[in-house]
Amino acid sequence: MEGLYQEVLAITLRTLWISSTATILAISWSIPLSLILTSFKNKISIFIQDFFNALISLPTVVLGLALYLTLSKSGPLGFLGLLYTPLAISIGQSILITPILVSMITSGFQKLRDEVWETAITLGASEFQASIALLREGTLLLIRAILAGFNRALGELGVALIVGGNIKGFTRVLTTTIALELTKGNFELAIYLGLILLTLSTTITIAIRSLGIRGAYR
Amino acid sequence: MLTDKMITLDNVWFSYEDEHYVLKNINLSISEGITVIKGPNGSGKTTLLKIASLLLKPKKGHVIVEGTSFWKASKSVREKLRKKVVYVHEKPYLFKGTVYDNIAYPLKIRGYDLSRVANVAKEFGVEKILNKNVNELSAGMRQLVALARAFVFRPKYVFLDEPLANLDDENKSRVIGIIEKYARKGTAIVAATHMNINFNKETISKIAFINNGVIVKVSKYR
Repeated sequence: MEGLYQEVLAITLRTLWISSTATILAISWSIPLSLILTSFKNKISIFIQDFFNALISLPTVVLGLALYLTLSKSGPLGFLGLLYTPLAISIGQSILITPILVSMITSGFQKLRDEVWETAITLGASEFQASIALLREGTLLLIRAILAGFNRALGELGVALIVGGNIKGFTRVLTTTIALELTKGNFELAIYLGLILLTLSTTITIAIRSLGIRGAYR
Repeated sequence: MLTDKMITLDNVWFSYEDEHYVLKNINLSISEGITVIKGPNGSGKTTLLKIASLLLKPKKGHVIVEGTSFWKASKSVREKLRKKVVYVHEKPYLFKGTVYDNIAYPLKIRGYDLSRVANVAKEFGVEKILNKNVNELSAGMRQLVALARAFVFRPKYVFLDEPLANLDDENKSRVIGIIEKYARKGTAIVAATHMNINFNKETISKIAFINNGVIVKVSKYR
């Protein structure tokens, strides 16, 4: 029983670690991209935004397949040896959640843009300083977007299964373990793991909701 | 007569997102003293102010700032010229934080001495609320804080959109007095309004009447 407890704990911690890495990776390019999209109001930036909006519904198995073909030995990035590693899952999840982050952050920033950006610029800020002001004023919406992205990464299965391989003690995460235990008919453990995932996901959703309420009454 | 110490709008046209032109063939020079832009709601006053204060780029025509065509200048020149200009929205946005944080913002951006904050706060009657969070302020107080923030770095050109909106009679007189004081000191102040503001005539440079995006009449006082 203790061994099982330790394994579940290890899987949960690994899940959190992999999804956190994915979220950090996605933040690193999504925030600058959102700032660029916010600062330009033209047809190209609208097209890019629409493109990311459309990608929100990208099926995870399709992304997993594309990544598998890219990272497999015969693929263009096969030499990196990333397939079936936790990093491969993180990369896949980061790509998966990028459209969510970009869409949420850009639309939020655009609502703030006219007020914050214009105020900062007219008070003498450079475009860089105005971007900093926008980030500071948009902290709540940034946190909301990051939590939503993290939540999505946490609950996805396709990418983790295809590029992670569900290797015990290495790339096995909550979602892949649930799928595995179900196929083995081990419903009790699957439900137990499902409850852990649900608890994590619900906690984050409540956090997003409460931040939304706080933001509305600011 | 055109001098290089002013902002000039030269045959300016503007439209939002390919819609019809909301400003048509605007020619206006802004110099020392108070320039009043008068017109009904929706006549194009705010757009005109935003173009003259270098926030919006005209679709056609030129904005010439002290002899330089602003939108043809390099980014560094534009940033340098922008530092001389300030625009205050009718419903100004205040940054998160305290009244002090807001008034100090333009000074911090420029690396100026922050001791000016106290003087300007006193001038605008907000010295007792410097440590208050901006979320706790009334619309009138927000307006005064925004005006204090605009004047604190002693800009050369000040653009005020309905500067007396949200203010009670006492604060209206206070703000009119401050605007006139800065105008006498040589600041070029442009006030867009749909109502009558009783500025002292000696401080008024001109009154431009705008309707349907066209300047229909300019009365010069200097």
